[in-house]
Amino acid sequence: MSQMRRGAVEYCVMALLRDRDRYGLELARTLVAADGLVSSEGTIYPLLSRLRNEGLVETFWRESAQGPPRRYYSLTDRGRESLKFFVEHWERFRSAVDRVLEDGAG
Amino acid sequence: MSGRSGEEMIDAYLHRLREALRGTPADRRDQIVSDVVQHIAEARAEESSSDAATISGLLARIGTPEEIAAAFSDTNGEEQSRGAPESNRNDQGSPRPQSPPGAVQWAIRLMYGGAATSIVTAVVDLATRSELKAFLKSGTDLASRLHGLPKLTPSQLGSSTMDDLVMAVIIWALSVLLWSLIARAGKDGWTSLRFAASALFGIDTLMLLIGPPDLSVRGPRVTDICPVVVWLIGLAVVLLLWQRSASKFFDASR
Repeated sequence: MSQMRRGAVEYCVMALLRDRDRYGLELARTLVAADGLVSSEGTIYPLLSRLRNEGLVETFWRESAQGPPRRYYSLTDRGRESLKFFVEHWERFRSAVDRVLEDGAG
Repeated sequence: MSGRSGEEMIDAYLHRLREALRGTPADRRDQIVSDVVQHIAEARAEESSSDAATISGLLARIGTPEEIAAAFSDTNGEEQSRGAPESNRNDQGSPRPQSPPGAVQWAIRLMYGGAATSIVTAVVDLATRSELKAFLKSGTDLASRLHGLPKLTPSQLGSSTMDDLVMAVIIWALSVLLWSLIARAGKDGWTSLRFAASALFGIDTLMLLIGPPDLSVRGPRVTDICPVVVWLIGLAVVLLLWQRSASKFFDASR
């Protein structure tokens, strides 16, 4: 289960960036608030680092009204393609698992 | 942690984080530590107090350095031990090539820019052929009047500009093809890309030196300036491809 969660979290990060850019603290708190996706706020940074290295997300600085400038993350075209690919396969995978679970329960 | 100020607690935390991440690539470690420093600064800006209790709570929410190091192993260690993570494998299960660093990605974009510039130059060049024909005619008329040289007949003039046209089409088509091919090869992680791009840039430099655009007679035209623009793009591509991050990428792709 933890492996499945780890695999899904990176796509959750990319999904959060699909419609707008977000800064690290915002991403971390959103994922912590989503039940059990990450255990603590700091654990998303190794993942973000990998996504940056793979060219799936990129960063830029933006001034903040309340504090220091923030490092924002945005989804690259490559990240968008990767997320689209995942969403298509995830829906099929989820439907297949749901069908088996429902049949098993019935 | 009692007795320590908030600043001391943060310093100690970051020291522990660096220690916990020891053994990870230096650039990745620096990136993560920098992200956490940024996270702490942002979280502190939201707090009304900077006392030890507040900082302690803030650091607890971030998680222990060991948790972050374990998260690094989860997300990156598996990649190293298995060759590539599941998310980095294609449909056939074979590892996808590592994503090129920013320098290589920019070089590839510039290569497509070079191809586009070549297309624009070719279009403008072809569109201004009638102007060239008139220019040649006035030149031969002038030579005939001043030096008694025979004038070119209309068929000679037509043949001359047609040869020129064919040569221009071949050169520009070759240029577009080469830019596109090496950009495509770069996208696919071709390890000899740097050498090929450098060799082509050398040839382009020689061509530019042998036949520089003559701006003095007719003033600068698009077809005179574009080869210089293409050369500058080539220079930028070569500089980007020989950056340290690009070298690491190509070395790793071998």
